[in-house]
Amino acid sequence: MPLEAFNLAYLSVVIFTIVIAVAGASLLVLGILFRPSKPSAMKSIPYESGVPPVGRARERYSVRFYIIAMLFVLFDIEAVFLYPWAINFDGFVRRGDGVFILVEMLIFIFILLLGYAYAWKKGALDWVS
Amino acid sequence: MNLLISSSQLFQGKITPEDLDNLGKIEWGALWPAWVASLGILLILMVDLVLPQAQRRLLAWLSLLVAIASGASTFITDYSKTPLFQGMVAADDLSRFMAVIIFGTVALAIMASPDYLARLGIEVQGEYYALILAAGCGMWLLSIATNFMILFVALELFSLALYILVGFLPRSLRSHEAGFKYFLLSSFASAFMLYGIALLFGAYGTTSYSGLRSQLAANSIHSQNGLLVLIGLAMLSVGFAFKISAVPFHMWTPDVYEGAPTPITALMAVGTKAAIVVAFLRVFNGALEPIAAYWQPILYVLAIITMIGGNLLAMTQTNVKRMLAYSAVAHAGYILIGIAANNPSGLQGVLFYLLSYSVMTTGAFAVVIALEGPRGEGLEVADFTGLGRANPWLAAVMTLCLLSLGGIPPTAGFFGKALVFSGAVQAGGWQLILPLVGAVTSVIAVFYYFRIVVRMYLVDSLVKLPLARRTAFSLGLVLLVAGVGTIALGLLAGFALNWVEQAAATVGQLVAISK
Amino acid sequence: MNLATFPLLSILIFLPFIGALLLVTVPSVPEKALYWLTVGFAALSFGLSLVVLLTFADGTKTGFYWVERLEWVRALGLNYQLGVDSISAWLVVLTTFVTLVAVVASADRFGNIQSRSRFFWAWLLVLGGSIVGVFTSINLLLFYLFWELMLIPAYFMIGRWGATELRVSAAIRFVLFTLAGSLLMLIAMLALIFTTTPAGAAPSLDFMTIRQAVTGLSQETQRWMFLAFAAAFIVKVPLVPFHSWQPDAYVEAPVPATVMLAGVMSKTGAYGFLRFGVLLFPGPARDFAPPMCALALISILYGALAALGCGNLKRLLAYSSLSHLGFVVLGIFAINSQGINGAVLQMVNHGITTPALFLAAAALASRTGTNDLDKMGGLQRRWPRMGALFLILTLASLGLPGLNQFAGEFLILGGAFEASSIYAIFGAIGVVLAAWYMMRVFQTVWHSPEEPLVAEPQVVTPRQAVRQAVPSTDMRLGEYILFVPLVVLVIVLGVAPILVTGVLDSTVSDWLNQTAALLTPKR
Repeated sequence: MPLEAFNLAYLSVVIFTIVIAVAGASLLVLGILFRPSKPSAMKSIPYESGVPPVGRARERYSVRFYIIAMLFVLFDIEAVFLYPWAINFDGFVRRGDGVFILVEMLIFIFILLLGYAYAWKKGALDWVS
Repeated sequence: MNLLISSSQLFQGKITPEDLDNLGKIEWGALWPAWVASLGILLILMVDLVLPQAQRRLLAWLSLLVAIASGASTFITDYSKTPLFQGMVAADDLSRFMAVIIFGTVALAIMASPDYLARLGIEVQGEYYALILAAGCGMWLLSIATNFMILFVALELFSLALYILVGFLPRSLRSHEAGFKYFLLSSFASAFMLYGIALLFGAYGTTSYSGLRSQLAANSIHSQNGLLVLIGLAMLSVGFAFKISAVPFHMWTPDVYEGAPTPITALMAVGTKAAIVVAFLRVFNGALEPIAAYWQPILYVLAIITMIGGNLLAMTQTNVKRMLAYSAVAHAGYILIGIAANNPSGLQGVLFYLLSYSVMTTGAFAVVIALEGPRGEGLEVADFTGLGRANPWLAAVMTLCLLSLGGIPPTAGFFGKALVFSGAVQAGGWQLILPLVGAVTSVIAVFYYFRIVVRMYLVDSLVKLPLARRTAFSLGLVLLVAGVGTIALGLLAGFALNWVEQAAATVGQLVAISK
Repeated sequence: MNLATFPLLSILIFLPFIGALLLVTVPSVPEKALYWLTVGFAALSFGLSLVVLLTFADGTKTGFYWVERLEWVRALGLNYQLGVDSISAWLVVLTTFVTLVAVVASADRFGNIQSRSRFFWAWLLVLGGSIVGVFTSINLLLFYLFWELMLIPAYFMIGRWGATELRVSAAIRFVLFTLAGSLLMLIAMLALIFTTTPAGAAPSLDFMTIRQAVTGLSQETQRWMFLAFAAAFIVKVPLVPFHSWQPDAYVEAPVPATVMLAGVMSKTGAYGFLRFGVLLFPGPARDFAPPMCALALISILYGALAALGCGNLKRLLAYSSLSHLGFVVLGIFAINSQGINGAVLQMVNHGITTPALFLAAAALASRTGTNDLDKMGGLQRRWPRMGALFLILTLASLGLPGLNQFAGEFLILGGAFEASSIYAIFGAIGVVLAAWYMMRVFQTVWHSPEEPLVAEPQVVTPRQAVRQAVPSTDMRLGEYILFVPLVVLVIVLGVAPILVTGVLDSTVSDWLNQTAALLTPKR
């Protein structure tokens, strides 16, 4: 695929990016131009849903949050694979590859299952250990 | 080459049987080593869950078995010598060659570990061995990739495993620091590489080596996409230079090699380097061959400053692991000579160099492992004083490996060096400077390698040292393999070369088969 | 015994290796038994090497004999290929003989090998074997392999059993110097592979093949290659100004190792000049003959002058060795029959005289506890027989007619005169200087003051303490056994140098004729 075709195919992305950048920047600039500027100590504290912030911003979160988050991502990705597999299943069956593609997905699920067992046994799912 | 199935087809359920037929035959057998290794990883993780703590040592033997099986499994399929999986990976003699080198190295690293882990009080073993196997699997995939996508995925696979392994030592700040440093710098370099890949894709719309090669051969570099190609080439060179630890992208090497658990250092010094070098060959001497005139000068300069820098920096080191790390940098320089030569002699030289470099470096690190104390002591050059008396066999293996690293005949290292030099000599012209620099720096190298030999044999030791620790059986095996290999590869260099010759021939061949 | 297939040369090379392997692997056996084992192996190789020499006894044979060939590494043109002509035959015999002498000498107390002697003997045998390999390789890269292999045993012998604290640095300097030179040679060899192999043919670095192919190269290429080869040989011989490793290595090395270094290893450099310089690159050798001769003359004069100003007997002998090897190189680069005959003869003679001198100096040092000339004097009355030994060796070394070194130096000077009278004049000055410094030594040590003068060693290290314990007797039985054969050889070869030259002459003139034939169509 030569460059011209490549450029055209992604031209919409470039236009989109430019529009966003211009829109965001112009809104900010408009704000600066039209709003009154009266800074005070109260105004320059970080916005936290209307209540005054408590404690330091650099709190350390328990590492468990990250573990749970990672596990969530891992098992969520599963769906990304399952979805196209499911909607294309028919095509494979018609071609006579039904067993093959079923076994493939079973292997995939099985590996995930092993991962689940591993996470469970290692205590990654216990909040309090 | 256009993608055979677009993502819109995939997500709208519009794949037809004809599309599937177009995919061609899928030769699962070509990837046996990767299958075996992956299954082994799962198996080890599961066994680790059910095995009582006291019997966890079995894991080492299990993973050793897996590594050997992975390496051996490459021989059960008769390779078709064409790119498989829609031109994603190569199944040729070079792939087989690399399976032997990488899984061999992995096996040696595993064998060197149990005693070391016990000494350092590491109880988490399942993950350790599983990660080593994962790293090995990634290295092998990297070396057989014939598409930038696979290259990058494989790169990340083994890098991720190594980030963890490098920082594996509990309560060792140095190890954690090394792991983090490796993670930051390596991902930075990966980003460079990815950017280079993206630019090349931008220029010609393909990520496959063969596609890129035919495009480069068909289009002049002075046409409109030339600038993209050249910037992409520069980015790729930076990425590869970092991974192969060429000066001036070597800064991470000594720190990471020093901080990592020593078996992992050996694995990185040998396996990672071999994998990267072969990927280097497949990309530069394969895909980018038509624009060789543009990357050869880059490699000349890199090779020269790497040889000089690596050897000079190694001279002043007092820590053996750091010294070997800088020596690994210097050896990257010698390997670059062969890559820059870009002729059959050079390629053969590089592959033979990898073979000899694996045994001798593994041997040297195995001796370091045998001597290393529970808190990382015993790593100074001074700690080798009197080893010749305290443990003659250990000292003999170390001497042999150092002689080989220094390129003294009739060891394997000499033939590696001679073959690589011969590639540059054959290329002639300005390339003659490379072996000359190589010769001068080899003399420097012998100077610092012999500092250890001097310590082991020539300095009368008055200090009592804990050198007489019994060497564990498995580590002894590693030492034996390395020692015998260093000699045998030298004496039987002719046989090894026949094999190397076949493997080297496929570097240019493969990508020529355009799909 | 079938001459064509019997691997005599391989046996000569690897017999010592087997001996060395036995020495380091046999479990606890009395030191004495190991010693006799070593002597046995060395004597066996010496005996076998005589067979090689006898092949050439009729003095008419030219070309290579006892040839063996085995393919090794095709890509590098490396074949395991051995063969001797009458030049190398003499040097092989010299090597096995000097190895035997060194082994015998390493038992006596002045050998000064006090610890782990079995390893020393093993290294000694390995060194002997690899030097035989150097002299018998007729494949360039195989020659290089043995050439480098020599470094390892020499390094360990100097570094581990050397005399003082300086031994380690002397050993390393020795290795680095020689390595730097020989790596250049390696690159030249690699270049030879690609410049001489026709496209598609299997590369070969066989001496005869390359010798034919070299003449097809341009003069420019040949010159560079010659210079790269010469770099290796200049360092090994050594010639001034690349000699600075040599005195320290000779002085620091234990005596048996010095015997090997000065006796035969230095000859490998000269042999390299002859075989892989003059015979392989006849054109450039002729072009570079004047500068090479100049270097040789500088070495002769520098070595002699340095010896003259030297107060340490062992160092003095090292410098005199430097000077004598200058003669050898001068003879080689005269590039005529006389010069080359003389050079090989001188190699053999020097290989006998110099070990004898170093051993005699060591025997003396074992009695006096010092090598310092200022601390010795008037010893003739105390040890008259040893004085007589010194006298003979001194006279031989300064080239007295009737003793061995005379014939060689005479031939070399004759050959040099044929090339240019200037060479001969400066060479002759070197001979005069040799007489001066050798006689000076003899006089100071054996004659000068009325009363015998032997200084007690100032610092008593453990090594020297043993020396002091040696009773101050004249020659002992062990020393007779060691020196009598050497002295006999000194006299026999002095009276009948034809023993060497008779064998050499046909080969040398054959080589020179071939060289002339190779050169003429090109010029």
